[in-house]
Amino acid sequence: MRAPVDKNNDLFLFPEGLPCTQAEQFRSECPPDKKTKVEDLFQFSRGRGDLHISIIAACLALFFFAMFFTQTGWDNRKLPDGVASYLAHQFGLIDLDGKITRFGRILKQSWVAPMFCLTVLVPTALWNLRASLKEHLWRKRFLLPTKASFEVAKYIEAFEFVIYFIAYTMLVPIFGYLLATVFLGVFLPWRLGYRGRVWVLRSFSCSVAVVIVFRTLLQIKTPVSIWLYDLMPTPLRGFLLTYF
Amino acid sequence: MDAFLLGLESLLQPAVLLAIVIGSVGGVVIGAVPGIGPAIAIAILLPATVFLDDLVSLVLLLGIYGSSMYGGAIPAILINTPGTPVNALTTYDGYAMTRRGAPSRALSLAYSASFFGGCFSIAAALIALFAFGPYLRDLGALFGQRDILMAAILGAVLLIAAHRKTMVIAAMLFGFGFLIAMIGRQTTRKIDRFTFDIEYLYSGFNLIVVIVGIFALSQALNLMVGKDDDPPEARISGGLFTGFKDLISHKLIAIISACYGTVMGIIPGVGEFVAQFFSYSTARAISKDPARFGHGSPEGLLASETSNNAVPAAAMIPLLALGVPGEALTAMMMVVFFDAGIKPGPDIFENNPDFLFSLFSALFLINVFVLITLLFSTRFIAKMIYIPNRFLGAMIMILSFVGVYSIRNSFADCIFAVIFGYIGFILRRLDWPLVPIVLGLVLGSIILERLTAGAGQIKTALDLINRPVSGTLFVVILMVMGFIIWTSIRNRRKHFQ
Amino acid sequence: MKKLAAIAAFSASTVLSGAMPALAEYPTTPVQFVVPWPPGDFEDILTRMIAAKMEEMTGVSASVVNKPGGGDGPFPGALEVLNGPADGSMVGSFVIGVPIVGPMIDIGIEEDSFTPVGIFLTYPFVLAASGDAPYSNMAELAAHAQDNDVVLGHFGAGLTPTKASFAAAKKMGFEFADDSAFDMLDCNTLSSGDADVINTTLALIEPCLGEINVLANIGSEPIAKLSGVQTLAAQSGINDLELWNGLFVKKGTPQEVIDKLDEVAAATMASTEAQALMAETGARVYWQDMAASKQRIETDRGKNAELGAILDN
Repeated sequence: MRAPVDKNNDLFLFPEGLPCTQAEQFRSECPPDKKTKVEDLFQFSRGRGDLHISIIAACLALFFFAMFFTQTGWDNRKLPDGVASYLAHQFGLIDLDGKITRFGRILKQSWVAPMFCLTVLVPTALWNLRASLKEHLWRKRFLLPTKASFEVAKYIEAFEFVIYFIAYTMLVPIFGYLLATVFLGVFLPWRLGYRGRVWVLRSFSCSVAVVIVFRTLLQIKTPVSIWLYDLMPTPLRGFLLTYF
Repeated sequence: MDAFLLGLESLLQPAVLLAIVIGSVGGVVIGAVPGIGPAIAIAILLPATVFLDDLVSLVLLLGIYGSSMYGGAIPAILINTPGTPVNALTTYDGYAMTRRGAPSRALSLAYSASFFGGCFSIAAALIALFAFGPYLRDLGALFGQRDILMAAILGAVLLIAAHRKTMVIAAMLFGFGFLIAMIGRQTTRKIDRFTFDIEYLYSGFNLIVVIVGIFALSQALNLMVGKDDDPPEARISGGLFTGFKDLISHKLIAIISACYGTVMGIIPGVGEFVAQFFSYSTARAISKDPARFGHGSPEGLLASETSNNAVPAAAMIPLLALGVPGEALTAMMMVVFFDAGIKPGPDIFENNPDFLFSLFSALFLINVFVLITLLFSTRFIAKMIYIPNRFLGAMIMILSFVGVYSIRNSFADCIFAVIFGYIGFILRRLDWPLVPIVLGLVLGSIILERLTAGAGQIKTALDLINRPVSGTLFVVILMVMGFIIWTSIRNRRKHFQ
Repeated sequence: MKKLAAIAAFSASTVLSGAMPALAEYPTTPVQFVVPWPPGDFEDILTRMIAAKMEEMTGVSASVVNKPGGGDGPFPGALEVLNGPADGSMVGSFVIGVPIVGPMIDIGIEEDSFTPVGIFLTYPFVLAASGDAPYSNMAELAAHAQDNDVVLGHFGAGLTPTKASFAAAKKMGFEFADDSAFDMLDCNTLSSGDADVINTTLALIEPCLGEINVLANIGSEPIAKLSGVQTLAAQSGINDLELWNGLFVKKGTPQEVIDKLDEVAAATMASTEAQALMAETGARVYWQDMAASKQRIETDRGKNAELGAILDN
């Protein structure tokens, strides 16, 4: 069954309606998961690990809620006596006599903004947790896979690179920016699997280029007390500190 | 008029022109490489721009912002991978055209569409400045602290509303961003929030640390942990000038999409995605050939590319006029404004009119330069697509240190940047939106500052909204919140959110 | 501000000449002047002149970095200089509040944390109100404030001009209904109604000077530019504590650093541009060296304590 061909308008090279031959059955020019659809742009479905992170987020929100009472100046609050009647007066419901505290004086206190923030944060965190739980239970009910071990493995993998970055940060005041960057720049691609002379050369030149552009030319700030440079004689030390 | 000439004069300095060149070409390359986008590049370069002259750094960042979408179309069309997330819709029709053997037609159409969109919004912004500029000074008196407070809250609410299916998550992350903005101690104002008596936290978290962490470092981790794509070879042959004819034959759709892009850019919180989506849907609705959409329709390609390039110039308008940034990239550029001593707000037209003209003229020059470059060097730029992902991730990690340490000479900043990077990485893997955290931080600090400054004049609660501007904005906020609540109730009827 | 070409040329010439200056004389590394306020005001302009002069006189790059503290005034910027090295690579351009009010609030600044290099500027600080306010001097304000709400806008509650304003109010028998700390107080603040009376420097309200009422100026003498405006001290009976700005380095910085900075700054203040600034704007530009500055700081501590006493009673 051939699809109708419109010879006038189409630049037509790949007929879509032709039946596949046995040999071509599983070949795809465009892998299905990469084809974007307009409706997909706003699609959202909760992935694995979503429940775990939602739980952590909810715990964080509740932690800050608990800390609100001691860490935001709530204990030093200055509120007028009879908060309920004061608020009623503010919204024009009742009339009060006497000197009424200005609303601004209350708004300026340090706990007001955290209070508003928490009224947004805590309910949404809990609502999100509930939605995540519902999805999780639904998937379990229909015996769909729910294990998050792949995701957790990825998180641990990423953590390794976090350690490398922190190590790099600590190496800079010891070896100076140039050397530390070259170390990281050559080690990291090598660790990621880009071995061989060509790749090492590429990594080296890229890291040196970064140092030259940002440190030598743009003079961004790097630590001023570097152990290695301090071992150098003074004129060289000044030069290295300024340009590398 | 002399403001215009003065603006042009400051533009025609060698350093600024060099910045235009580097920004445009760099922006195209950054957009073209699928692992990195303008957010990452701007996040990394932002601290470094402190060491450059003001107009130079702004033009550099704008160049990256404005030209990344040109570059992002290249892999979208050639290998069905959007170079930046906002080019997602371009893959739909662009790649279909490539499969039919006409990649150069698709590319030239994308370039001309982007150029048209960019110029349209720049022209609209300049006309608005000319027309409304002199009145802005009088309007300035209408915009006090309480009004900007309401504008910031409106921006926040619109941002949350724009995440249609992930509103709750966006709201929660916005809350976290706001929380981060609040941490700090100001003894002279007797403010102490969540510092737990830790000295590092007294001055709070710096915006750039969070931005570099959440955008750049998270992507670096994401790339390094993922795998390298193996993009198929893309061949481009033929001239790249045929697209202009297509643009002219579909003028109406081009103009409509450009309008969408401009309007959506002005509204804070909305951005390129929604602009593209609406213009694509409208184009499909009014097209004479709707069945071809998704299979190589030039109108579809035109619609998506025009609208997403019309957004950058328009997104500068709420930032310049009110000082309230509408999305993450313009929020980052706000930092450069402050460093330059330019206070965005209603009196910017009075205080720095030449700067405004320089800005938009620079944007125009950037668009022109990018178009010319691309028409002659697409083949070369297309080669950049093949940089392996994980190597890219490693380079991003190295570049991130550059910026973070410079800010306050603090190692703790670097550690926190990578912590935020890890958090951002987890969010990316879960497909949760990242922008609300950053905008929570930015809009949150604006809200805090304006609340304390405006509190003096607030005698009763009604004083917050009894000014003309803040009253209107408050009504709009209520309307948007009503919309949010209505949509979430509607969504609850489905199985999961 | 840096020019890429200049840096490239300088580095090229250094590498090519192969020789570095053999003297370990200050300055050898780039110098940063920290101004803890947003850019644009007098201290910013003058510090930039000092930095330019330093580049000219020593060839080392000198730059000005603005570190506004938001609602916290100059203190975060001051703390940064305090936490920096004591070798003259970070020099602070601070107002009177830093050495005098700083030790009184618990943020880590002590009376001797900073050594003054010199004082160079007295701000034309004023109390201003919008043009259609029904008062044009302090006495009228006092009368008006008895029955109406007047809101004061200032740069921070602990700062000297703020305290002077409150002390004056108390002495004259009225009270501000409320007050707010702002990051920036300019014409827009008055015209948009964010505050009824603001405490700011002349530079920031320069564009609308003709349309607003200046109630008083905070200082020891009236400002020539503003005719008919008397000092706050004369109108209210408080002492004439002035707001000045000076260069400071961290305690323990070598004397040669201070001497070099003294030389550069004195030359800057004597230059025609600095003097022209003085003539145009009403600010007082001069140079008081380290000894004179130390003396003045001590006197001002006393005056500040007096103001504090008024407020506490």
